[in-house]
Amino acid sequence: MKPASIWRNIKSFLYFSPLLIFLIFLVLWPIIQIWYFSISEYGLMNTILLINPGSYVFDSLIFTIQVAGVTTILSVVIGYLIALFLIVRKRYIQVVVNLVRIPLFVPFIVIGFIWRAVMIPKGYGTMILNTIIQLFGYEGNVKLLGTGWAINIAHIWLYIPIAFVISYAALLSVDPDLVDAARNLGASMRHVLAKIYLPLTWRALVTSASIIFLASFVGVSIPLIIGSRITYFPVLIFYTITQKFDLAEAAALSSIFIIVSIFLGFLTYILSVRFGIGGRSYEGREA
Amino acid sequence: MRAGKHSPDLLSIGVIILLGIYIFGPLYLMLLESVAEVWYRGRQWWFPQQVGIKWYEFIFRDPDIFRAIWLTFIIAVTVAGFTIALCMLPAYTVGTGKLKRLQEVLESMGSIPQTIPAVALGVGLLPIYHTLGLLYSFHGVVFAHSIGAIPYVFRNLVRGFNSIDPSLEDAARTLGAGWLTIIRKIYIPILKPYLAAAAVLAFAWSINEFVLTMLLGFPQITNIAVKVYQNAGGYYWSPHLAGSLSVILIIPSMIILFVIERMTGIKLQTV
Amino acid sequence: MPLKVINVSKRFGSTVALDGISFELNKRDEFFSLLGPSGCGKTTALRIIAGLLDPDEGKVFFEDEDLTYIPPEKRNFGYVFQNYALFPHMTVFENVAFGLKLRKLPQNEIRKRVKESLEMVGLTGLENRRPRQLSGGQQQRVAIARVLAIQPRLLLLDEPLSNLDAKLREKVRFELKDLQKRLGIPAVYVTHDQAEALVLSDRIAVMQNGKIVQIGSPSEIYRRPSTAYVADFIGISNFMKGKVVEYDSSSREVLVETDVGDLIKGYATQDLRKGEKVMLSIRPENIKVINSEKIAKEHNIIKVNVKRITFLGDSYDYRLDYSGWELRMKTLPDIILHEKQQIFVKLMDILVFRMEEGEKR
Repeated sequence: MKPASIWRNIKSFLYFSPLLIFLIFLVLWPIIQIWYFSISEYGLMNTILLINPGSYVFDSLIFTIQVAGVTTILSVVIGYLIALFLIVRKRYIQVVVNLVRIPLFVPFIVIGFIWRAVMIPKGYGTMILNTIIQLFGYEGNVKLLGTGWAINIAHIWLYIPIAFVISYAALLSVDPDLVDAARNLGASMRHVLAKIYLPLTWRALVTSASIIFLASFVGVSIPLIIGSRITYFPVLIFYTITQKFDLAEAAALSSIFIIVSIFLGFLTYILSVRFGIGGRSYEGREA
Repeated sequence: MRAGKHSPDLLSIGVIILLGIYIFGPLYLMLLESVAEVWYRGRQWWFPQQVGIKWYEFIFRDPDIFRAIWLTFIIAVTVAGFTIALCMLPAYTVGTGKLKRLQEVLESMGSIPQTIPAVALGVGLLPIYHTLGLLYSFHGVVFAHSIGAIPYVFRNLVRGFNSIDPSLEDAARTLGAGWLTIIRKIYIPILKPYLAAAAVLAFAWSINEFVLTMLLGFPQITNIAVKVYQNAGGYYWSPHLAGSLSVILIIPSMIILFVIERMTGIKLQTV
Repeated sequence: MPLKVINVSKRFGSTVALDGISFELNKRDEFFSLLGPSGCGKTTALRIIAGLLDPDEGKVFFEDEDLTYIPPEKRNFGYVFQNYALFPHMTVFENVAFGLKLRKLPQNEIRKRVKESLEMVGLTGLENRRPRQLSGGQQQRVAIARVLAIQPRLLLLDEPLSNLDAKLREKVRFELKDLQKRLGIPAVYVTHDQAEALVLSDRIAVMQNGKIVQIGSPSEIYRRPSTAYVADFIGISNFMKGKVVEYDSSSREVLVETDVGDLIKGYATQDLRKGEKVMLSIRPENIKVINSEKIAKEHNIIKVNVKRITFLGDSYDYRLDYSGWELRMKTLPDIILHEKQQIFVKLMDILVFRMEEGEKR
């Protein structure tokens, strides 16, 4: 390589450096800080003890993974079904697309608030649910607020759009001639769904599932407002710092959280690279 | 039987109505809470006894809340400007493929902030901000908000640079333009729609940012999101105040998003 | 010497785009073409001259100044791109004024020069249009006006006519050459269209696989191609195989025996040995029908079958069969032949090439 080409490469790298410096100072350094704190201040042994099976931290992690898992499955299925419905019926497409995207533009904290307002005792959601249950002859006094289901309900509202957008883009990319050909060969619509659409688009399900799972696993605002007070893991950290004022313990919890979420992130990344359509190919598409 | 192209499709309409109720239901409740002056649910759970704009008046009269509203938008605008300035050259390097061998790595670097949980980051930033004297400062909050906004800004700018015919840069260079001129005269004007999208998403992210504001800025620097949190159960349950604050948080950003999408023809993606 | 390219090489990963090419422009207003099929490295060469690419090896000089690592913006060369690369967000005026503004010229000077440049390419009155409101031909003129405005030391043209329709292309060719001669700016022109290169150029460099195989004037290249590849690439050539019977190294005259046994006299492009396998190349216009009575034991007369006749308006195109080799013959429409007729033809201006290793013909 000639000096001039090397200089050009160095120059290009310098152009990139603002972002690099920012990430080092505001992402890498805090992470190092957390690990430093949890080892030196809180103690490595104590940190490891935190995740002993049976400890409240362990329980909280399991609870969080369970809730995020349920959220993921339900939002992916519903989002995919809406997209599929749109593809099959081919009517009022713009209306549905614009309608479904709305939750993406509502701040998390507001989502937390509005669903809390729905689920308080005597709130719309609780009253309607109780009425329905009474219609079936049971005593209706469900209590949603403070349970994992409450977090699910609000998270699903937020994440259906993501599943929908990804699934819809994937379904749109299926050549309509394939469907016509299958119909022409005598396939019913149910067959077309099972044999054409699903095999060609199931990767979108993997991709949206991994995005949604990670997002709902680390999200703090919504569980903070409607979830049970400390059992959701991000909320646990939040309260450790804002109410217990225990930086060392919060750092220890955070380092566990980062390791778990990086591990899960890596896992879902592998899954979506292996089976999914990948973040980028979806990005490029404008549904 | 499938309905003809122009006759109304009743099944579709039914589904849309159900979806509409599902999507708008909670938002309707937010509006209702914000205009409810008196609402004893024990007597009447479906509608307030008295409706008015008392809470909006209260918001704009309370100096503390009014300051939070003002700060929200100032911070958001600063974050949009800062992240765009920060990501411009890096996005140029990546979007025009200047460093082919590192392309993948550099591109994914812009998404790193998304993979780190905000709460954990906040815990780590707390002692750092304390040492640097950034705690409870305007700049500190702007930096914190930028962390989460960067992926959106970076990705949109990279996409913009990607869309530009590389021979335009070559043409400008042979005509005598240096890199600064190329960015100013060629890239920025062509990038306008992508810049607008990036700015709007950064803005939306910033007004959305509650955790880091709470951990690093509160109580000196607050925004509407923190005020919503306080009134939506964080400190006390004051749904009418939280509702009207939410309306103020949502309406302006919705309008901006709508205008930008119409103007630029770019569908904004927050994923 | 305006431009001098010395031993320039460039690789992209494992593919060699340029393999040590050298050439120079002799005159101040020379129109020089790099001609070759796509992928032969001609655009790479042009981009290296412009400074848009760094060569791995070799040097580029302009007026004895080493430009090899001078950035493109400091070279003051005008580069016309294949897709024109007009700035979509600027008007025609702003596009043409772009380079002038960078040179910090006063406003009225800019306006004057833009006007002059647009007049030169015959495009006035469209100053406020945007590129996408113009036709392909107009866009191409704007692209040329834009580089003329900066009064470049050298014009670099990368297939500027390839996006125009056939008729317009023919017209613009001559305009381009006139303009270049009038302004007296040396030009390097890249094209894959041999007809274009023949019409426009003072000299042509024919390229193959990143190498220059021949440099010469259009007539040299056409009449005396140095290899069978060049003969094939420039114009239409017929090929047949043979073996050297006699070779005179002083006059380069060579006598070749074809597979069928006819003796043909031609001109050798390289030194040959007796008994060597060679390739004969004949232009379609150099095949003449003769009356069968006249046949003596003359050289260069062969018996062929007429396979197919195509009427082309001003001429006939004949496909002749010579023991399995197809020969194309071009004649005026005054000779009437029939398909499947057996005729005698005389071959003239025959070039003899050594058979390249691995050559299929």
